[in-house]
Amino acid sequence: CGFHLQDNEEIPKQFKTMTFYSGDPYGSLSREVKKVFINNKVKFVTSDDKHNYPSLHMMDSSMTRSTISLYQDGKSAEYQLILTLNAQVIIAGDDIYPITIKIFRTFFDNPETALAKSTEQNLIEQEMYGQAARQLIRKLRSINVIEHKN
Amino acid sequence: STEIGTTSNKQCLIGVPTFNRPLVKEDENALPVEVSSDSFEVDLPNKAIYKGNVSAVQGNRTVYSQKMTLNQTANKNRDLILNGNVLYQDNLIEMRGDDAKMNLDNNDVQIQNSRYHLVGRLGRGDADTMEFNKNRYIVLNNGSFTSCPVNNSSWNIEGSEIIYDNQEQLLEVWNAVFKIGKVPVLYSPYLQLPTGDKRRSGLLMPEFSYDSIDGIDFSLPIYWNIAPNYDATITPRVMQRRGVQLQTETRYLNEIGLGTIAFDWLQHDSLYNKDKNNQNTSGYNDSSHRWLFHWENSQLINYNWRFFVNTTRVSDNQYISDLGSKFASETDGYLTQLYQAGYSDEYWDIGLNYKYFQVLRDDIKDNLYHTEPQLNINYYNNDFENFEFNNFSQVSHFVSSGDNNAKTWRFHIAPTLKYTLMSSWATVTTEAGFMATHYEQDIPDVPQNAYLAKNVNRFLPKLGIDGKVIFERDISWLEGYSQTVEPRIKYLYIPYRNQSQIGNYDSALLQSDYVGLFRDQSYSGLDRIASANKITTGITTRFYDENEVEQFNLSLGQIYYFNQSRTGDSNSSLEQNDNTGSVTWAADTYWKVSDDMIFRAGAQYDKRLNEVTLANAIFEYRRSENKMVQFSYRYANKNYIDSIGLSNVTTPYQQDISQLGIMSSWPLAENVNVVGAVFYDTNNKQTSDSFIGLNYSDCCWGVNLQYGRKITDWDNVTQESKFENKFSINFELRGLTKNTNVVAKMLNFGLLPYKTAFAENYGN
Amino acid sequence: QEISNPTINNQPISIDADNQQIDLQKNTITFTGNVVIIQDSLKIKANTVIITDMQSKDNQIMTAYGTPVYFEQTYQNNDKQTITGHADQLVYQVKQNSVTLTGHAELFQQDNHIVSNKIVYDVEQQKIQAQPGNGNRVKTTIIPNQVKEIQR
Repeated sequence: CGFHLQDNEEIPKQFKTMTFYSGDPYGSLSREVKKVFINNKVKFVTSDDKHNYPSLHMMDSSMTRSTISLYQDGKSAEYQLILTLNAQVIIAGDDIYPITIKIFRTFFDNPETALAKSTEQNLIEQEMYGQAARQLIRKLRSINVIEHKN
Repeated sequence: STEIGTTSNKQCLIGVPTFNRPLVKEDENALPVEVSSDSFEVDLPNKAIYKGNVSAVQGNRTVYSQKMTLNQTANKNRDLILNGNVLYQDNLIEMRGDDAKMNLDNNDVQIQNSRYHLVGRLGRGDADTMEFNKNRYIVLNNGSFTSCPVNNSSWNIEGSEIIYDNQEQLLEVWNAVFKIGKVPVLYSPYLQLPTGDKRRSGLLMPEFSYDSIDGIDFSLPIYWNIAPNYDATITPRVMQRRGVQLQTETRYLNEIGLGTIAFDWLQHDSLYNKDKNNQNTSGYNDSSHRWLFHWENSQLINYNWRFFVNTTRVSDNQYISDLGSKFASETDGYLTQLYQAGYSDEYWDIGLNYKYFQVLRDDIKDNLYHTEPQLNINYYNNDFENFEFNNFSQVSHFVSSGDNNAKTWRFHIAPTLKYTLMSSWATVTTEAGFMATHYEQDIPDVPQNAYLAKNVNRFLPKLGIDGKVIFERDISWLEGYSQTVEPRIKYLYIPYRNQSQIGNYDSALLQSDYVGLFRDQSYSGLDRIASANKITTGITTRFYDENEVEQFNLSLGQIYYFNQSRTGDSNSSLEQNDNTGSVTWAADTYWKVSDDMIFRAGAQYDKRLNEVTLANAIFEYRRSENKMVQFSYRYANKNYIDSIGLSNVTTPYQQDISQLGIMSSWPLAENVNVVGAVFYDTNNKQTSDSFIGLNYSDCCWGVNLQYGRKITDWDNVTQESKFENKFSINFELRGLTKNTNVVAKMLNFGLLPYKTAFAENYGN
Repeated sequence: QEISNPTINNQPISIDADNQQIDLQKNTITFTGNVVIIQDSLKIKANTVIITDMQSKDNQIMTAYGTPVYFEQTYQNNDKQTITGHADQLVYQVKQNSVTLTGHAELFQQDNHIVSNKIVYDVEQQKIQAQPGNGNRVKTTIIPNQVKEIQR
């Protein structure tokens, strides 16, 4: 049925070495993004003033929690977590590719075990950072294709 | 044309002056003044007179007049006197008047009986005399301001003195009279109005609503710019059947960080007293003072040190559903008070936090635990090729207000080493680590604590191997498209340890959507670490278009248990019967049907209940910011809700959750928008939350009419939900700030706010 | 060469030029080639200068042509100020004591730099006037004194 093992790497060649900029470089999201990129054989260089490497800018991110389903007493049954990440990939100092990533997750709330639920929320948020990092990699593939087209 | 309900739409900007010359950046006062006139005369030594269509240009500034006189008194301040339909223009403002005076040294301008219009945006008015100084302040004596377009005088504000500060984007008015058309409507000795986005002030117009419980509800927000880094919104609010409430919100940016402090106070709530007396349920405070306190603060010092506070407290359990607040949702069952300090760098992430909860129900208030404090120490190391080492250690002190509950210190350490082999088409990660925990439980001598032991040690090794292969192909029947199939298999081994002697402080059984299938832990927290001898298999397929943009993905996975996953904790229903084999299934999918349509769905199945435990789907059609419709469905099985620890006390009624939702916003005409939503509970055959709303947006004002009905509580006597109907009308001044999308705000009228399924950020 | 003690407005004047011609019938004198005229506070440089009615004080007129004619005049009041200018043609009417610059006329007075096709400088009245008329405009540039004094 035409399937073959994927020949080109998850991360296109031109992004094998990059610079990384973030407003909160040691926050959980930036740390997870760097870890997933490093696991995919990306080398981060600290200074590159001649712009000969592409750069990934973590512009801003937000995690919101809102009610998505109700019990009969009007209280919240399920909460939805939405991670929104706005980033930019800048190639050779001038082509700017904006990236918007959204991750949706839900979990049940239980006022009786509030501490366990807030621990669960932290766990899910950590997983969402990983999902956002992997989606960021998939976005690099499309930037790579567009970059070669023009 | 830009969308109605958003900002500068084209018709509104007709007649607005624009500045289309290249902006001069350097200090204008030092630039020469180029004058051109029909005739010119000098009375030596220092009086020059220009006559006839005089135009004087300096940097971005141009002044036209019939006659201009320049007095140069020995190089001191040199005044330009201008007479005869004077017109002043620059990149900020355009002013017309009969006569004017301009000082060439500091370039302050004074114009008599003048009319002005801001450049490039709405904002105009007139004044007996007008000054423009320091290239920043516009001072009007007996002047007026409105953001209505030239031919539209829906409203304006008149004042004995008006100062427009262009840098702070703020308008200050003394002896302010707010007029609708010609009719004075509101007087205030002093009034501030933000005219830009620098101020986070939201709607500043009065809000009027009527609901079946509180009666008439009228609030008038007053904005106060205390200092460049401090501003506040004070909102007196009158509720017919409750009383007068004062809401205050102060925003600051200083050494402590960027923060918001809010305090709402209602001295005497008559309806609350009435509810207290004739209501048989408990949970009512004796005093009738009702207050809310909220403090939010975040600070990051040179990327390493961080301080974070997010705390909300209320005076009584019914506060939020009765009075509402933008810092808490009516659907919250509890409020969180979190105080956090931390240090993080390349390798370390250390955080100390105090976390408390205010439960809005007295019957479960005492069995709640909070951390006082909790210290998390994470060490990460990715320096060695293919290796990833991290060590998670934590010290927690669990305290509860219930005196039968144990107070416990927990010491935990969990080093993990991962080795990853990777090629273009496959990734294999082996993981090894252990979890060591020591408990010191201070146990009250009460039957419920019979099993607990004072000191408990627990040591659990963990082994795992996780492999993924990626197959791909080009899709013949879709030009340029490609498809990947990504099977993944993960084996995890954690031995069984009987943890019945350990109290449960922060562990709850986790629900597992597709991503959750591949987790190591099946409980949150650390008090319950389930044994695992299981294989999780999953397969994901993705469709990419010609630009490698993901258009579709579908994932399906299951967990196969070689032997039962146990913790020794008998009261978790999922551990009653010996379940092995393929127990848990999960699937989720995403489909970008077109640029305007998105479909997302997910489902989970658990063999232990032999039913679909959770299912949800959402379909959204979105044409533009205010033209969209969203269909959603959510299902949760009753037995499953019980099994993940939501014991009967929490939900006094036993039903599946089956919620069908429709939400839409649609432009009806050029500047008329309708919004609506219905969330229908198919099991109980009742609409839990619904509203309809209409928005009319003119260039400089807008009005929203909205009516909604929602559940507020559960009546134990009649075993039915209690409802509230609410009608609200509020006005809005437009053209001042880059208006937040009013229509998007209207979609958050009910209990269930609008969240778009699209990645782009529509609404808030 | 030097003309011994001619007088304009019965004040001594020195005129230096490559050569000169006197036309007794028309009672005019013409100087050509690097003409430099100095009369206490007035200084004119031109290619050609024609002075008519040498003797009569009433209608004596000096007309100068140059590419351009340069003109400079300092006047004494509280502080010494000079006015300079140039144009295609300059006419100095002695009796009225006024200087008229025509044709690409430019004049620099204190902070003002005036450009017009006609500028009249009335030395007696201490007035400068530029009235190009028929749709032509006067261009003036005011140099703010910050540039000179650099206050800040």
